[in-house]
Amino acid sequence: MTIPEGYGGSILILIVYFGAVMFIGLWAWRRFPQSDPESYILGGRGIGWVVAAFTLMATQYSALTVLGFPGTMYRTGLGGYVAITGMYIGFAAMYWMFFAARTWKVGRAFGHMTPGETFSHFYGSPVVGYVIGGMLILTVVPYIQVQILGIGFLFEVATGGLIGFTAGAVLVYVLMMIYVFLGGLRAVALTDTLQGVLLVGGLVGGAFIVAWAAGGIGTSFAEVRATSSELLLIPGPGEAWPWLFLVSWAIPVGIGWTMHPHMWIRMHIPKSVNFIRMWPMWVVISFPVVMGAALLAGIAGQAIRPGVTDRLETDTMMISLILDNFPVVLAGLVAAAGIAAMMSSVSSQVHGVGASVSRDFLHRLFPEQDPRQGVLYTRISVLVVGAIGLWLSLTTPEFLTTIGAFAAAWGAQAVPAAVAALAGWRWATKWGVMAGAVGGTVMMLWVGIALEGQQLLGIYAGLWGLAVNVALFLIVSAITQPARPAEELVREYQTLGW
Amino acid sequence: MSDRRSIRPGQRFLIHFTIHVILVLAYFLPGGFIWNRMEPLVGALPFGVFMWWILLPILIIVNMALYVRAHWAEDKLVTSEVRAGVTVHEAEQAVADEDLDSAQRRTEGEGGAGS
Repeated sequence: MTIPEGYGGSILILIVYFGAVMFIGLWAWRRFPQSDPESYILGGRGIGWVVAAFTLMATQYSALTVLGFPGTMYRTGLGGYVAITGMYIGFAAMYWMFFAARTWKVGRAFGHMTPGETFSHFYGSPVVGYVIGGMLILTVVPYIQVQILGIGFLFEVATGGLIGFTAGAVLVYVLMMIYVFLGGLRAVALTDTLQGVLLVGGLVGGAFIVAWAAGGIGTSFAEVRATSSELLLIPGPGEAWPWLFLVSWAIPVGIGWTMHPHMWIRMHIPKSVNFIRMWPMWVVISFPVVMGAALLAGIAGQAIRPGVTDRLETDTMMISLILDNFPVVLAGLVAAAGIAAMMSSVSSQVHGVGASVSRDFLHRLFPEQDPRQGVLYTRISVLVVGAIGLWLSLTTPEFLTTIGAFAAAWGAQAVPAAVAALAGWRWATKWGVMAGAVGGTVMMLWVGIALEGQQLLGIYAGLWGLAVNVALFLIVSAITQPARPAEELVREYQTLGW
Repeated sequence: MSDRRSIRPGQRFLIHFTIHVILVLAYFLPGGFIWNRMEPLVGALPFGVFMWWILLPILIIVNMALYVRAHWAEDKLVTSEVRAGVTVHEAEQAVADEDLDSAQRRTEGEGGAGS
């Protein structure tokens, strides 16, 4: 096995990176106790603001951030930036502004860790936790699959093909699973901090390098303005982002993202209400920076190499331009940043989904658990979820790829249940929230899969699903009022402050 | 301090939340008609790029920072009470019942919220 010419520096960067990540992950395992589920799943609810901020940010940036979004902005220009940034700084931030502190307080007051636990508790039925908690678990599985595929691809690029796609994906995944399995949330959050610094630096640095190759930021925009001005206007080339579709896409995707188990769990981890109050602020600070870099990379890519239409080629444009114009070691750095982005997401997702399986299902099916058994069950769940994710990524079933396109918007189907529970709405019933979630999911998948362009009357499938969900939630709740949550419990939720 | 205290926490929350909603509406709804153009150039950026990349996000960030600041003292007190071992409900009630200034002095005297 010989190292491809010029790739020595790039491979060295990867070795140093993996060494640092493993050291931090294993140090966290040895340093912090994992003696009960709360310490393994939530870091003992004692995470400081720096780590909390970085794990939030790093978890959100994924394969899409480094490979997908610069490509999206290359193909569709400003519309892609406005949609993606707007969904986070507008709608995800809006949800967290309203409910992040409340979720923290509910978790502290009642000992909840996962969304399924809160739903089961408020609606007084474990079935609600099984149905909606189970649905949220399913929404994340396609993401895990996509991340692993991205890791394999970037590993192949960064090593010059020395380690192939499958071997790279399996190697990185196994290393990651070791520290997730052993160290739990502390290991995930601390490695997220390193990965967060690396991914933001790599993406922003990579974008500036590409812009520099194009003659600078101003030159890049001027060049595109002169040759492909539609890229700097909305809806963009080929009516890529019509306004109605753009807004109807941003709403369910933005709020849906906040419902995923790994994101919900993160609302319980800060040790202070002040830190959880800062969460939407970190979102609105980081997204214009990171997505602005993706926009810059896309526009500079258009200035240097216009007219590419192949999706894979546009998605990898930033790295291929760096490889063509600069020493390989720079591309290695950006590839390491990409791998960091993916590892930070997939480690959080596997940990969050494993925790949900353990708390929402195993804990209810086997309630007689001592704390150490609780940790063991959660670790086994994490391992099984991880193995399923790897198997799915290597077999890439078409069905999963199809529903994966709706994974973020699918999360929005839990929003009515979450809002009603966290706000303590006394008239919301378990039948209402379950009917809404199931009906909304059917509507979303029907519009998304059966109709052309994932839309009906110009409105994105996810928003149709949410509209049907809300309607069913209100109607079914109204006709099943005897199943209202217990009055005393409702008062306990209502009296928590915002 | 007393002026700021005259606005209750719930009102402060609603003020900043309403501003956020207005800014989100400004981001999306009139965008197609007002921000969506090339001219004038601001720095080296087309007008739309400047608005969506720079100005509107900065306004949203400023509002969010003010929102965090507006809740800072109450949040710190609730946290310190919870860490002292009382329930969230009791901590919030204690903070609501107590004069904020004296409660803050007491907390600081005990070594702060430990944050």
